[in-house]
Amino acid sequence: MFLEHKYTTDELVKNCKAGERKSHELLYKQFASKMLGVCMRYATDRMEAEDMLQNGFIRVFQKMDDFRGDGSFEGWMRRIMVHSSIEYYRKHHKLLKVVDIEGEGIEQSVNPIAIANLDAKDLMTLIQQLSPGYRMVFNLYAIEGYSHREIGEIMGISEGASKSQLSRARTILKEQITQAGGKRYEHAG
Amino acid sequence: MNTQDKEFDDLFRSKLDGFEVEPSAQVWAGIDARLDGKKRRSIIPMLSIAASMILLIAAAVLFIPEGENIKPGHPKKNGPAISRIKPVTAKPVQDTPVNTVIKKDAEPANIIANSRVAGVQHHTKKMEAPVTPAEQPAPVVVKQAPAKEEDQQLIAAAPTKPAEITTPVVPGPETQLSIKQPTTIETTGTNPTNTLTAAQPALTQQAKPVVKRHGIHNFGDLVNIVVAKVDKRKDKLIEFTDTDDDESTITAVNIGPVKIKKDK
Repeated sequence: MFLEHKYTTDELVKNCKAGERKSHELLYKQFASKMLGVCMRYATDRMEAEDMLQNGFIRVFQKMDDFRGDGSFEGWMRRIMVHSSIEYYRKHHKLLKVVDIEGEGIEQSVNPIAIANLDAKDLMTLIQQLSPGYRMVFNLYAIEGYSHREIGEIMGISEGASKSQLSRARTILKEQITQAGGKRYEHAG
Repeated sequence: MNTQDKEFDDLFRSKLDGFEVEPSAQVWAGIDARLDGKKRRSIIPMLSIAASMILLIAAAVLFIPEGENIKPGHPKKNGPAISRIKPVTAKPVQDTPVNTVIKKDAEPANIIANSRVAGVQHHTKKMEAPVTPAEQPAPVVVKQAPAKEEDQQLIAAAPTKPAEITTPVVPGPETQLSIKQPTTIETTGTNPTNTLTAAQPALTQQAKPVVKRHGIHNFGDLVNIVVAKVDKRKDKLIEFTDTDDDESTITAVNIGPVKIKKDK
């Protein structure tokens, strides 16, 4: 009976705030996979990502009372995961080695179909292969939607540095995709 | 940023947006342990806070009263006997007999008597040295001194005895005064000086026991009695002593390794 009952997110959040232990686990089970997907983009590998996820969830439970229900709970949780990931890198990597790249480099065009042919797992691998600084800026800007000013504040770098790192990250990704695409064609051919 | 870049970003976002990976079981185990640990940990600081609060309160109760007493206590070390005698024992024994006796005795002596009374306070110390060695009949008078006021007043009525009573009050000045006014010397002169000298050490000795023997006058006395019942050691767990203001302060603490005793 109990196991069949499906709690809504709001119910779980409410019960978690009331200190009900079982709800913590149910809430975790409901969101863990999705949140690990977020953390993976910021991590070099899965182990790092799971560390971020664990710290993120602990903070979610600790700060549960701060969630007023203004936006979606998932969005709130996701932001905490992102911050947990940023904090992880502050502790474990010197990601703030800012290199202002002279010139934007050669504008490399990538065939959109090449990207479309790659599945999410491949793209994830490409992102994880980026150096931590590039990866962080690309994630925050391209996927999370932060502005360069916000990224600069989070990472402690200038707005310009954020822009140039983003540009460099894109260039690297495009190169990788092209190479990967070429290999695929080779395999296909 | 050109459109190509935007397209590129959008492709990544849309592809990765729904990306899910099942975390290993260790992750929840770690969270679970941390949540558990948090609850367990939260009790320990609570206990330690409570314990430190109790310690602080205990320390405050034990030591703060003593700390306040240090200020008046130091000057007392120089002349504890005098300060004690003045308010506690001196009043009943000295003041009343002096006034009554002098008035009845001889009116010209009044002036001297007053000056003596004033003089007593200043000269008491000096007096002891020269006079004490003098004579021994003094102890007899001393025994009379602690007598009740009524007795003293009766004695005062008699012409000869009052002289003895006044003597304890006016030891030093007399000798000096006698030189200036020979009349007074005869009435109060020789005998009084003897008694005075004897009386003073007697008074100082009496002062302590008198203070301690009083019944329960304040909280300190009550504590002393209770502690005495429980604590049979020589140095009690805590000991109060009355001050001049009829208040009590802690003068000794004995908590096993920590022993504090204030000498009076």
